[in-house]
Amino acid sequence: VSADSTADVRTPVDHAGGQQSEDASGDTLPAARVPRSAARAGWLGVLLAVAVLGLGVLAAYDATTLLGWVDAEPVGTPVLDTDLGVRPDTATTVLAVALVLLGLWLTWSALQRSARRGARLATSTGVWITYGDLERLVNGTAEDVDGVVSAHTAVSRRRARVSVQMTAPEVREYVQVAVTERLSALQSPPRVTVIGNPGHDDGGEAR
Amino acid sequence: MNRATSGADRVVVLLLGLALVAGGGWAVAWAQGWLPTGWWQPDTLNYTGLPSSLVDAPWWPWVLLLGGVVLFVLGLAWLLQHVRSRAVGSLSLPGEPRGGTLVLDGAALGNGVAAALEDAGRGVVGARGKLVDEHGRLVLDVTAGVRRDADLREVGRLCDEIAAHARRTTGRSDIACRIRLRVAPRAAPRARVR
Repeated sequence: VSADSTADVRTPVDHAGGQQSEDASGDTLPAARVPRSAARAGWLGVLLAVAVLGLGVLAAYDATTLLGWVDAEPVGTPVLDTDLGVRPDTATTVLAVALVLLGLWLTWSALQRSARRGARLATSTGVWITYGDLERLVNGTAEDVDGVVSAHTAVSRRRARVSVQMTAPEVREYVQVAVTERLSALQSPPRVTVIGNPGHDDGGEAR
Repeated sequence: MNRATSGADRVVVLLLGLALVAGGGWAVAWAQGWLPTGWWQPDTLNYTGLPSSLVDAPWWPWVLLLGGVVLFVLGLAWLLQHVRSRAVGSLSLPGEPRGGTLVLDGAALGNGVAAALEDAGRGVVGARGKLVDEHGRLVLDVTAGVRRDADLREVGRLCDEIAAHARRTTGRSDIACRIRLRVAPRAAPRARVR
């Protein structure tokens, strides 16, 4: 059996016309992990791979010039053949300190664990949403509350901090309830903090 | 990028970092005269180039060529490990067809799941999916756009149902599923009645 470009995996619900019927939680595809952001060591690995590749090209080029296959001067060999003397002076100290700092940064980068890119929903299969999308979602929820002029949200794994411009003090509580309810669909909902600031609706769109 | 490449990146970067810390630390102590008695501490560090017996040897260009080719192949293989596609072309299905095998196109499975999410009309406004190999495990990787006012519980239930049906359709329980919900951009401002 070979599918063309789209396998038919619509549920019986869809075929029947939209009624909800089955509880799929027990027999669904297992959840894959929420992806992590690319580790810095990965980008450094790409740079090092390019450096190794470039070194190989340089060595092969030098070899071909030394063998007389290419009518040109070698590039790398004269550099390796240069005399170099280093004295224990201030310039050496500065350079060495820079190398130590670079080494510490590389070591830290190699050991750093990359962060999860988002939060999982409380589902049986793997459903997730980035923190940036959660912020957009929470902003929309807060702005839909009557009395909210504007909202700004920052969401992390443990905390959702919502700043709202509101027309009355009691609006803060409404926003708290609405956002908490919205985020309760997550497997580990973050703690919601709402900061209310008095604001005035300039009525830009409502005339 | 698979786990081995990621591990190789970390090990190489770590070794390079430690070498720089050790070498740089020694150089700082040497330049400032902080090295304990008995440690190697020359008046100046002199590098006098490659020995002429090496550079002038008839085999030197050949060794250089061989080393260059080895480094080139090594660097290219390392680089390709970072960029190679993880998409799975086809998926074998369990079953006993007469004289044949059951194979499902990986892209068709991804597209099918995406279309099912989109067609359900329960908050998903667009989706795309693919089957990928991730650290040796098959993963159905789907991205679904949802409205800003979508009910996340409802969308989650829908995802469970579609994934369950994909499992029954393929008969494969070893496929993991990851559905990313992407919130659609802010809609045009609505008039508010006061």
